[in-house]
Amino acid sequence: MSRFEEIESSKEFQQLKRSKQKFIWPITLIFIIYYLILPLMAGYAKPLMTSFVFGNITFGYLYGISFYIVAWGLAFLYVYQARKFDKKAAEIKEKYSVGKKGA
Amino acid sequence: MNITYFLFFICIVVCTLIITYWAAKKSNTTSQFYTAAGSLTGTQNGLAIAGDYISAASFLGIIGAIALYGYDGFLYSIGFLVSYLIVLLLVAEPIHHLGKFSLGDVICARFPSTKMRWMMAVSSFIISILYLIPQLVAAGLLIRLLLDINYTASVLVIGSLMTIYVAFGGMLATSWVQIIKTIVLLGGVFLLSLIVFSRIQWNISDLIQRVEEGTVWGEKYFLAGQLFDSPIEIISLSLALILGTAGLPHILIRMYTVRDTTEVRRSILTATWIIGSFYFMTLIIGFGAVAFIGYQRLFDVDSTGNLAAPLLAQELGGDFLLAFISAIAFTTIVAVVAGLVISATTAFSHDIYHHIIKKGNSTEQEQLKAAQWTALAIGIIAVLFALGLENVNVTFLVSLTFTVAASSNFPVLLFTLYWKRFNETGAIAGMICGLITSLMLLLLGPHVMDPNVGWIKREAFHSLYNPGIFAIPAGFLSAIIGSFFAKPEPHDVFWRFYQKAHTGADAGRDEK
Repeated sequence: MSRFEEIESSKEFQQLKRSKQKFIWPITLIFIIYYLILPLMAGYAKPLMTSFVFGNITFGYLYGISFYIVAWGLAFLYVYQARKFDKKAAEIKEKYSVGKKGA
Repeated sequence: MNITYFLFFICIVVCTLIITYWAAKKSNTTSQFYTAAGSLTGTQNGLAIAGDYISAASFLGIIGAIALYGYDGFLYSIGFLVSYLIVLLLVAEPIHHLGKFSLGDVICARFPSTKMRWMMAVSSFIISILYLIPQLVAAGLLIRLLLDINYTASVLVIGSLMTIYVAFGGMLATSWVQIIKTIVLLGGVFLLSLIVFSRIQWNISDLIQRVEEGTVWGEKYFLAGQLFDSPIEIISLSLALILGTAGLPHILIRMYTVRDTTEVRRSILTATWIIGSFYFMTLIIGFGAVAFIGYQRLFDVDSTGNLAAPLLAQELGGDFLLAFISAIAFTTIVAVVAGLVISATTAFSHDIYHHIIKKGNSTEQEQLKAAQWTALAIGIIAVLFALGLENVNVTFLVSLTFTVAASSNFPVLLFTLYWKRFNETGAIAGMICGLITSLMLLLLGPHVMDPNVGWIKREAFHSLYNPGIFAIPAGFLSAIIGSFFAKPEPHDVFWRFYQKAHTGADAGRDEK
């Protein structure tokens, strides 16, 4: 078996693949939807966008500012997870390192 | 031009040339030239990404848009900020693992044919040049407005600086020019926001009240719709912004300038922080401009709003602050155009010269020479175009680059990285259709066709200023349809590629 096949058929790699897919796609989709709600509301829900939440801060600006928190939050979450993925990947590479490459 | 301006400019020019001299002594391998040999730290690279990304169009343009049109300007800045999350989540690390110097390397890691190489080189080249020339034109006009020196001189100065940075100092010089630009730019907008706040005694309600008095829109200032007529326009623009960044070659090649994936992530986190804080401050400055200067005066001086920030600086801090902000605008311009020159150079000298003409067999020295000559040629051509286009309105092309990137590079890159059934036919179909659809919609749209002010004096075929809502799905769809017209790849080809993309383990095709 070649190194590629060894890694490919290993349980660890299959698991890494699954957990990575399961992590990035939902976040990406939710985030794109959350983002597209902004132009949709800006275009079609004007009364809501101008309603005052507190003081003279409107909902529209508040929703806009919320992206700072959401985007940074998700970025940190990703970085935290990705560190784990990297560790997994390093372990896998170590286990099936070039030196042990089969015939 | 008075003495204060002159000193600021000389200072910037001298500093950046010293950096270039230092970088030129190190820049003696291709890896140094194209990627600074991966030697930047994540934080440095993040600063450089921000420097690459925040153009004068967004520094002055966004502030102007917020000052004149309120909420619509704010929507722009949110789009610029959030697009980095897409880069981080989907493409950053695979690109680092798969490629060497160019975006073509990534796609050709899965589809290693000359055709694909051509396609990627041409698209990267078109996108970078489409972005570069209008930036140069805008820069020339801006410097003329700010400093009252003539257009030809300012284009020549900016054009020769960017060419010198890239041709002699490669990626290392470009990166450091961008890092310095980011620091100076952030310092400048921070200072300006502080002055705005101190003028209103830190009372935000007071600021908002003054804004309402200053603007002509009244209540509507806080609503979308002043800059874009229809909701479709806003949605279309938002889509292009969030997906476009992940298809811009000059941003994506910055994934190679760091050592490993940890640093890649740190780069993007840093860039997001900086870009986020920057756009937050543009909001304050935009508000400040309309509060202290008023809509009418802003509009009278320059109807595009580009001078809102400089005017505010003059109002609040006199000529000295104005000179400082103008110098920052100048630094911003040279840093961005240098980034574009190196990206176009990479597409030509690495993809076309090295991989296609020399079939991957040229020596380090040959490649380095080719890269330097290419940078010089691109610099000259861009300057000539910019000089010829002085009186043509091309500045709208800057924001449309995002649409072109989002409908050609992005779909192909995304499918290449994640979709098993994708194949070369799909990639080429997606790339060609995405490019042609977005460029055609642009050509037939109201930017180009206008009975009074257009390049083509007749009624436009459609009324969308931002054609992303049609062009982006067209790019994706043609990539999908193209894939189904050809046979799927052999089973393990994609998984080999996938393994390398996500672990960095080299599972090359030739391995038995």
